[in-house]
Amino acid sequence: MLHLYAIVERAGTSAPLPPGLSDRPVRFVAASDLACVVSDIAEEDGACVAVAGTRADLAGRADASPSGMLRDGILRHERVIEGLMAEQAVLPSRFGTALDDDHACRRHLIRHREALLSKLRQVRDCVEFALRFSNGCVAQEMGGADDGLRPGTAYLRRLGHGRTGWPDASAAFPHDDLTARAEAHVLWPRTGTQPELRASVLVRNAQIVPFLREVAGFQRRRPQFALSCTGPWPPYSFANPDLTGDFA
Amino acid sequence: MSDFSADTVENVLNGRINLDPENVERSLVKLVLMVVETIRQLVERQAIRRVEGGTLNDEEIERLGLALLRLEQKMAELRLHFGLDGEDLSLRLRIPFDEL
Repeated sequence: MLHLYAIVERAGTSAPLPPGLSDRPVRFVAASDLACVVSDIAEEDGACVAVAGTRADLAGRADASPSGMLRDGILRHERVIEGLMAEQAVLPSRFGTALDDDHACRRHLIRHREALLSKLRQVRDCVEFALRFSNGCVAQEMGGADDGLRPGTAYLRRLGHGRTGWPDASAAFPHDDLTARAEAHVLWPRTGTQPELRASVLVRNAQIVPFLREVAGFQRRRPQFALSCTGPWPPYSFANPDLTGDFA
Repeated sequence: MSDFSADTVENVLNGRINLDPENVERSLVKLVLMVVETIRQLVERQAIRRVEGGTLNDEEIERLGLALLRLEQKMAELRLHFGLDGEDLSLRLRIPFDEL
């Protein structure tokens, strides 16, 4: 069994990559001008231990709980991807993506070559930012809670809300050209368990500073939305979602 | 004199005029209010854009908002006085408000 970190165009890196899950070495499985970046998972370790580290590694750890082990595994996964991103375009895999063996990797690369190359072109020299709008503030906005506001300001605020119209689903996005500098963005559906409005934004490296300036401006102008922005992240949301499955 | 309903304005624009001599005053008021309402909506959108653009300070926002609020209240009084509703004053000129 293999743990998949990412798909890249070029096998190998000039600088050594950090060790992978369970301290296993990270290696490349190449085919069709692409490569899967993987490490072996020892099946006898069991899923949780396998993703978090070796038993010996965990023995001296203060937090050997399942959540601590999981956190450790996620950090290792992330470090490998960051090491790759320092040198080339990367399609990062969601943590926990597994493949049967090298043959399955090659089959996947060959079968989806064009789609993967297209995605790699899109994310080259880009990073992802996550935007989140507080649901509590959405409710406040919807309810028109104008406590403390003078009548004229409250009226304009209601007008502004009426114009932007907070969407039931993420079909629309708060405006102010927040995504104008983005190469692409994904709006995530709101659900009962995830009621906040969320978006993932793909930003070219050269546009990071102007983008963050836009975000800061939005936060200043429209504090009622309680916008938070995290990143830069590897472009997880812009790697083909199908890559997490269909490895047959 | 014509009946200046929203539909009639469209007729006018299409080169047709429907006459209604029994209702001249109300029709004229309606036409004037339709124009005022359209301009008011344009001004509101411009105001929102300026507020969101961050070019106004708190005091300017309050003054602008208060002016628009009172204008809206006055329009509501006039609509009530002349027995009109919002739909009566909807000038169907297909103005792309969101793009202005």
